[in-house]
Amino acid sequence: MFGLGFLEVFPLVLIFVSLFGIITTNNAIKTIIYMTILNAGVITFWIILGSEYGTTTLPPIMVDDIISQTNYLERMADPLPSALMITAIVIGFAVTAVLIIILISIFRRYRSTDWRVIVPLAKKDYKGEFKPFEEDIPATPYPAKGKGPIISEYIKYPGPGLKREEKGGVK
Amino acid sequence: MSNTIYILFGLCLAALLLMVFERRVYRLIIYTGIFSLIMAGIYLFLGSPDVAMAEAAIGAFSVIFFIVVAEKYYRKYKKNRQLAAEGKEEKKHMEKPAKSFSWGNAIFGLLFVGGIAFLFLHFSPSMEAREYTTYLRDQFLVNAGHDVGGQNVIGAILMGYRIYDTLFEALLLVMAVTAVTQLSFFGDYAVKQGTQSVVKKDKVAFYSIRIISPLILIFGIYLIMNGHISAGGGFQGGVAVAAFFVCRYLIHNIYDLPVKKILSMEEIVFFALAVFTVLTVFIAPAVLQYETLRSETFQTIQLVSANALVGIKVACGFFVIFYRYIAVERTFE
Amino acid sequence: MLPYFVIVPVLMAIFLFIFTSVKSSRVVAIFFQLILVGFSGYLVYLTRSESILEFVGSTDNFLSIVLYAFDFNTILIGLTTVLFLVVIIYNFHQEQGKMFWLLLFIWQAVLLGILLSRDMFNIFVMMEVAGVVVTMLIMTKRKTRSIYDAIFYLLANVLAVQFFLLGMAYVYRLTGTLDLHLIAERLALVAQEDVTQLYLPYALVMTPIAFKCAMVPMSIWVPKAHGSPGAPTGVSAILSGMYIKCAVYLFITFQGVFAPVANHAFFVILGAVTAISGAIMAMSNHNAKAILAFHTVSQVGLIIFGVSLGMGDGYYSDYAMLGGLYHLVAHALFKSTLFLTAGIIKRSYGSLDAYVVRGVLKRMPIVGTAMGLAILGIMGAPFFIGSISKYYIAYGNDRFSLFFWLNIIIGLATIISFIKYGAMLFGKDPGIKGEHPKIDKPRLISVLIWSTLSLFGGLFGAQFINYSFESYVYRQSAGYGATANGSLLTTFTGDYMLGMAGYYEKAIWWILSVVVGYLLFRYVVKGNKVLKKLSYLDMGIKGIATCILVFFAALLISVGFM
Repeated sequence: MFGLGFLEVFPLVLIFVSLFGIITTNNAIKTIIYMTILNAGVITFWIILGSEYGTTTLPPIMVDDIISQTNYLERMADPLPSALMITAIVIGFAVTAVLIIILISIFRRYRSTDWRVIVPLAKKDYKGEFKPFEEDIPATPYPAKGKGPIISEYIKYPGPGLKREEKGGVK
Repeated sequence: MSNTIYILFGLCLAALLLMVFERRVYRLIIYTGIFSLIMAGIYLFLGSPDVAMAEAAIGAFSVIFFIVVAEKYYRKYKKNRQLAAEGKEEKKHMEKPAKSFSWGNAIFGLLFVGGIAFLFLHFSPSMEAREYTTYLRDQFLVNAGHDVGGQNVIGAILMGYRIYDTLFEALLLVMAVTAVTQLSFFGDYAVKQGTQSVVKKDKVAFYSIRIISPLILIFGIYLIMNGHISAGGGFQGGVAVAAFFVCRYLIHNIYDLPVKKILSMEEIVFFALAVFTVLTVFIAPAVLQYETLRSETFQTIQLVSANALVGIKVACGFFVIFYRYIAVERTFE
Repeated sequence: MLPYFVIVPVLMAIFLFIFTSVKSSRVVAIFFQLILVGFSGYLVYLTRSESILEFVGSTDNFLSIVLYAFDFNTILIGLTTVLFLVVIIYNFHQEQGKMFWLLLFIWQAVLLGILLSRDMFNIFVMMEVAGVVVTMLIMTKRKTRSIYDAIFYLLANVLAVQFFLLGMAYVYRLTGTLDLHLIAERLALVAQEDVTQLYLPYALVMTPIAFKCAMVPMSIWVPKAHGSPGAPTGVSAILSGMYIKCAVYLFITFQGVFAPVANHAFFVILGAVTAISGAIMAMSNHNAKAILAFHTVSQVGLIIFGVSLGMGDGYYSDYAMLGGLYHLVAHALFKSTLFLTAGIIKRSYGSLDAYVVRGVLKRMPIVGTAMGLAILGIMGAPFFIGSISKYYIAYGNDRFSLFFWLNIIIGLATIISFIKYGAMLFGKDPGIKGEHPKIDKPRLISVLIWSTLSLFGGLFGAQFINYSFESYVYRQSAGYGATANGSLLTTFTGDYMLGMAGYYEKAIWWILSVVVGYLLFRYVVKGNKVLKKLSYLDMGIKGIATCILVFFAALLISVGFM
């Protein structure tokens, strides 16, 4: 159908499923997971393209194992998409990390993972009608140096002379 | 195309289906990890071992971060449900909307994306090869050994021909690490050195990690140093070295590495990488002679140093991100 | 030489972050920026007569990355460096610490990288880095709503850029290269066999670029990002000033690369719709920054309108193209002035509400004058750059009546929103004081520098056009091929001095528009409830994702079936 083989349709399936997910999901974490799948789909598309749709699948590394084979130059995968996709994977990861850290700030402020709750609250916030939930943690800026909660106070340091079972074996 | 790859394709589609229909977030995150691993397998069988390694390593790290963010929210939610079940007051702000799935939403999505898919496939160009489609590939395969050196053509492209892109990708990682440390909510930079964490330990996991983690470190260093000869490279090796430090945290339960210093080290290493790029790619061709430039020693030094710098930078960066996510965010609540 | 423009700011950024103290970092930053301004001036001078092509990588052929400077993008480069200098001086007494300098210099490096690069994957990497850096800058002050703005912008940006990556895959398959010039040549060859192959790559590549240029269904991120309360004023100024202009530059480049399939009529209509909708949304808001941000959407729509008119086949017109390009520069100058003065007003009055703040001219005469001149310029008053560019766009087309009235309507909407904004200048001072009532000297100096520049650009507009843009304009021509020096563009000379009769006619239309605008404002817009509801329009992530897909589908249908 449409004159496309299995290898051409496979990454498109990934992409469309992730687009469907981004449009319909209400959970913020799931949105980011679907973005990851979208990235994976696009990268798969490139890699399949680099392998000429399954025909050239020898890694482009000139080690003796591979050079000794016949016709190795024609059967090697395209090195350019591989190099570009390593960059794309790292970029995708960096962006995911930043998204997650911002998401944590949003959770803290609006106390919800659901877009249907966050968006109206953000609208109220813009008008200035949003009251931050009262908690021990301030809901707005990152406390200035020295004024924030010191984390080490929350963890009991058992000290160096701890007996073996207290050091944390199976509980 | 071997049969293994078809099995992998089938597994991947199965994982995708599971992910779409799964409503519980914790499970979804685990499925993401499995999905990453299957994709890594697919990339390996399609002839890109470097990409496969990068995807596997980075997929594993992403899962850790997703778990942290899920735990951040859902732990509180579970606690409140527990409180409500015990009869105590549920905090008012934990309103969960009535339904998280509605048929109207799903059908609209299906029709819409179906329409887009139809358009997409209708206009899909024919992907047969033309006369110049493989031109760049042939040029790279033939010339990379001579121009940049080493045997790994992908590494040659990343560290030689397109090092400008690699520089900005490393810069993006520096930015991400900076974002994670600066945008995080706490006033404190790091936990006090030597503090214990509240990780519950399982004897089997404990001992197996103790055995495997030095091997991971050696493997990471091998990948970095041999990135120009076999599959591997700076990024993959760097992530493996960072994984070693993650294992170390899991074994010993303590934070004893100075995070601030590692953060500055990462930026200084990036600075060194940028300066190194300028020296070897811009200044060296003008100053050195052609024979020295294309000699094996110079090329090996250039490739190994570039890979090492990138590896150290990536290891520091991932370590700081992991540390910040797990140590600070997790233990605070 | 060209890669140094991009790598040196990165080195400067890290140097500033690690090796300087907070106090000395400001002075060192100004010093570094002056060096960059000097070099970009030199580059502008060099490219007046010829263009510069450089290969960045181990070899000197098309296996490496290609950087290219010709006379249009060097003007943008010069503008970027000067704008950053002004913003650095503006933020001399800022309290955000060294992180701010790091982000600012890296942002500058990325913008320069986008402008100089001719390699598609390089542009992708730069776009991603720019997205992350802008997100962090938006969140600097961490105030109320800025966290939501940041995540909205980043999610939408990343989604759009994935389309770019996918489109690039198709383009690589069809042409076997990543260099834009070679891609253009080979796509022309492919188009000669079968044009329908190019429809999908074209839609995939143009969707993210139109997203960044704030075209209509997807323009909701602009007011969120540019008018965010958490962003320092300098950041908003650069966002509205240069960042969107880089996106328009990419738009022009890619419309040229995909010349056999490029659909200019679609963007003409969409540009006009964007201009009108942006202006209506600008009318509905109170917050000064939000008015300016919505208005940016409108003006960028107008720029795309003019530029697409100029590039299209049937609507051929050099005047519209030049008007569009010149409006790009003019809007950059004026909008950033307005943002910077808005920042000063915020510090002095403590509030940015356009209905509350009054009497700026009395309290701060210099700032008030600068603001007034910028407002006049952006409204298109005679003698200012804005009028020249709008004149060119309005008169430079075949179908005189329809586009002429469109331009009048857009101008009217602009005037109405700026009457509301300009009311801040006059009236009785309400006496409210912000946290820092005394004006910061550096801020004053920076605003002065920048508005003098705008004034000069306005008074000597025609000469500026002749100096900057006279030789290179994109045009779709039969028998596509590279010119002698390897450029995608064909030379184009002409005389662009305005006829005085046309000028007087334009002035009369302008005065009429101001009168009608004032009346409309007084009796229709002020306190209008419908408009007030519009100002808080928010659609969430699902909404913007749907809008991006709708745009993609619309573009694909308009290219494929028409």
